[in-house]
Amino acid sequence: MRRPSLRFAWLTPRPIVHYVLALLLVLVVALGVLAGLVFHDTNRLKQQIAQADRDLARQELSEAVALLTERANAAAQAMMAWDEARQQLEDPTYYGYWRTSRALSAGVVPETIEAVDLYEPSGRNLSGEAASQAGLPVQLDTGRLRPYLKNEPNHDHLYFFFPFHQGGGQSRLLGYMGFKFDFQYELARLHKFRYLDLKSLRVVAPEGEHIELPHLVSALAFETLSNPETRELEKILTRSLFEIGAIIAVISLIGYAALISVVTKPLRRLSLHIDSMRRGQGGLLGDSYRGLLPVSELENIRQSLNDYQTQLDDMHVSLARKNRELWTLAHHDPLTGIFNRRAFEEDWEAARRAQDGAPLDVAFLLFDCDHFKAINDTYGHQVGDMVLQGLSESLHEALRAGDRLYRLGGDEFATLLYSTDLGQARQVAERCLECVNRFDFMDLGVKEPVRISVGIACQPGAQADSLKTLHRQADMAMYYAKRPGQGKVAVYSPDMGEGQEALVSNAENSAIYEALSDPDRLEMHYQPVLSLSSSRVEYYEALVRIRGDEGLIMPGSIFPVIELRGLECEFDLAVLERIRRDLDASRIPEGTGLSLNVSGPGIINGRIADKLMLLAPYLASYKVVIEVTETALITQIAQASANLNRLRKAGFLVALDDFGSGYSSLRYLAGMPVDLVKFDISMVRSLETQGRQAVFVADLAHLIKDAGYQLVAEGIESETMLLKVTQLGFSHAQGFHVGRPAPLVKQGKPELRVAV
Amino acid sequence: MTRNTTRLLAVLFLMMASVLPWASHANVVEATLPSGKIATANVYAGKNGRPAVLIIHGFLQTREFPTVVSMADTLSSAGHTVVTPTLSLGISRRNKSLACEALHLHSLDEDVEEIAFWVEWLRSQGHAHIILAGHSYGNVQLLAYLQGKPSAAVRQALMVSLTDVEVKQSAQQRARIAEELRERVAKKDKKLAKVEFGHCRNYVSSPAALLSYLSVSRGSILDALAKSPVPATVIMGGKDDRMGSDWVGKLKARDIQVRVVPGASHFFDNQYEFDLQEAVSQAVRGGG
Repeated sequence: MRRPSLRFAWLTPRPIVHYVLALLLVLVVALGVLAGLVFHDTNRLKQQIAQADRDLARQELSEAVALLTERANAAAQAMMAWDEARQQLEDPTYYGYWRTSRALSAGVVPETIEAVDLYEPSGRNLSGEAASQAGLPVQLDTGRLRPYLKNEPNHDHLYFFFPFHQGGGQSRLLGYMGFKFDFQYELARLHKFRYLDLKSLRVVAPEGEHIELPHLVSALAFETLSNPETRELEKILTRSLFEIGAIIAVISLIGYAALISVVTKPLRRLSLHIDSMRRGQGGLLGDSYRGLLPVSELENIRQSLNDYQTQLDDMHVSLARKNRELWTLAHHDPLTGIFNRRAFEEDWEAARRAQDGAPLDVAFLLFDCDHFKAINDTYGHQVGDMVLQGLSESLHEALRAGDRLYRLGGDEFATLLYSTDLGQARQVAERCLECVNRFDFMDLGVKEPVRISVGIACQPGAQADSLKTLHRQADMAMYYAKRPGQGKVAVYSPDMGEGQEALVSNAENSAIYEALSDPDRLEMHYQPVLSLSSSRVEYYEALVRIRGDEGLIMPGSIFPVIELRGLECEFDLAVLERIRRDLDASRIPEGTGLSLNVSGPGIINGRIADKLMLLAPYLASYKVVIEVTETALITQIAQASANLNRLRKAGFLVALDDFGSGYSSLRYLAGMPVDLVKFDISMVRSLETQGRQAVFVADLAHLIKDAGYQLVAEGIESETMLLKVTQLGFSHAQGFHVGRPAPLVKQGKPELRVAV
Repeated sequence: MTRNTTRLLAVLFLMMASVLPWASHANVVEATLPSGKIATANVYAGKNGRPAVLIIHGFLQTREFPTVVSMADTLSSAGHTVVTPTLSLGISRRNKSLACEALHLHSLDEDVEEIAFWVEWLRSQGHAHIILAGHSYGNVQLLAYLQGKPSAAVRQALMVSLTDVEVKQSAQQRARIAEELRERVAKKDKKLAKVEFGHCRNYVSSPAALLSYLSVSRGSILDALAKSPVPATVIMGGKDDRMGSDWVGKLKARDIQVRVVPGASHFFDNQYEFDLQEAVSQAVRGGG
């Protein structure tokens, strides 16, 4: 069962010193209440004592009156035994002398009696005077001999009257006697009063009134003497109260100081320490925090805090290490160990911030491995990864100290060279090429040479958004560098990338996209391919153009967009549809043929294959050659081979396009399902040179021809070149010398420049 | 009131008192005097055939005076009937010595009457042989009785420390006072007289009463002794000089039998009480 707990939820947290002060205040209030109670009890006790004193004083008064009565009785007995008194009752001749000279001075009755008088048995005073000089009555009421007090102006007097018998007994009544006492004087002599203030004694009765003895005490008013015991008790109580109060005050102050020293100060130090810990400024708290006396609970808290702080510090260290590791992981490429794209972008931003908005003089170098896909597929991913590691190692070695190498993805590397002009950037790029070339990839099992292409974008005064621009420009330059015949290092220039620049032309983009959905927007130009054996145009290579608002959009502008957007298959479908319509419209002369280019993704795409199969009915009238690039074949050779074999079975021919511009592996060639090999224009041109390259190309042509392939020479721009390739055994030639690409007119033939 | 009536009343009172055996145990008897006052006396019953002794106390004293008690005890022990009255001095049942300042309304004549009363009372009790004894001034009162008409039963007088009251006064002074008192009595002036009398500095008395005592003088005492109808013996203390050192000589000069107890004072106190007892016993046995 849960016990109910008292919580002041509404109370906001306050410093402990407030509670200590509140406790002190409660103590002071309690002391005040205690003092009040003690004063109240003291007063009540005083009242009780005063009442007891009054009772005792009244008792004293009663006792004193009783004593006085006894004294009067004794005086009466003595008087009756006195011979001279009896003498007066027997012969009062000289009563006056006796009363004045003998009655009070003979020592028979107390001297304090103010007056004595004797009376005849009839009650008449012996003096026989009308008024007694002594104040005693002249005539007694013998039937009512009651003592009484007479309230008189100066002194109250008590009167006693007794019968006077012969011999003191009841034998014979001789007369009567009366005594007059000064009441207060007699009381003072008879009794030592402890409680009654005799001076305050007064009769509460009209002057001259007789108060009989039984009613005497009740008719007296008096004050009590201040009781010394009460005063002493009061002094003791008061002193004790002050002493207790002083002791409590001293104890409270000591307790307050002790609480401040032992609890409050250490708690405050602990609180400040915790605040410091919360701000991350905490350290280990030494034992100097505590006050005069150590408190185990606080010491436990301190040790716990220190343990916690130690653990926190350890966690901080661990977290910092983890952060560094995470940062490293986040900013480094796990394969190569160099910085990744995130680091690339953050470095750029950091550089931008460092420049505080000022333009940057920066050169962007983008590296890309040539034919890396083929290497990867040929030697496996492990080898491909090692190639990438070798590339990064080579590039890193080539860069200047402080330059960072980034792997942006795949086989794409980059570096940013700050405060670098174009010449220096080019030198770095050349050095990178050399380092890569020097690296022995043979150790990795890669027999083919591994090369890179470098695109440089150098933009003085680059702004915040220039990175994308630089990247795109370097990318374009890099692709430019990859082109056959280029020097592997290309610096971006606006004129090199008109096609690429088309990427940013919204109008051309729109035209390309519209062409995808409307093949009629495609305009096919056909370039004749001459059969050297028959000297006639055997077929035409279909080259695609798009009619834009500002003229034809050439392939150089189309394919970067298509490749960038990954629209190769869609574009292939559109082109195939367009060709099919041309075939269907009989725009291609019968008896000839056509060759069409299929993209890498298209080769392995079933829809493309199916689309191509739709052209199969035309095979009866046309020769149809499917041109694929070496790179496209290598990418996924298995699927590509399957599709191409299927097409070959259907009657299609397959030509390996741009052979010699790229990887140009003979081992690959042997395994490829191709019928024709189209030598790249760079190789054909090399035939015009005198070097070993011409020999090599010539021998290669022989070799391929001997392997059973038909050879197509591209870029035939002169008769000499045409003769040369004819002599080398090429079966077909293509080029401006043979005929430029041109649109077909219905039932028309493309113009031939050469005479076959 | 006649003497016979007095006797009758005395008898009545005595009937009220119980008479115990002769052992020295006193019984108090009261008697109404002819004056109407009530007198009291201690009565020590004695053996039959022995003389009864009436002892009179000194001036203003009572029968309880030690010398009187000593004498009474001695005589009672010897088998005498002893009566020691307290002279009333005008106060019924007087039981205390009377102060000098008290009202003295008594006279020597009244004292003599009371002595006569008690002698008669003894006679009424069957005592035919009575010895009168006195101490100090009581002897003067006895002499005054003997000068009158003493009872025939009185056979002897025994006077211890015989004295008067004129010791401190000259005869001229006493005479002058007496003359003034006589004049006042003649004038019926009852105003109290306050005089130095005897051992009293302020003796308060009526003029007539005081005058009765002033009639006694040292010479009258010696004359009365000399003329005493019964044999009288005087016992004096050797150091009792109240009457002067020549008093014993004067007594002896008048052929008065005197026995002096050497060293004793007026009161025969201390060890002289026994000498007194012996002297008293011898005097009573010797019959004079």
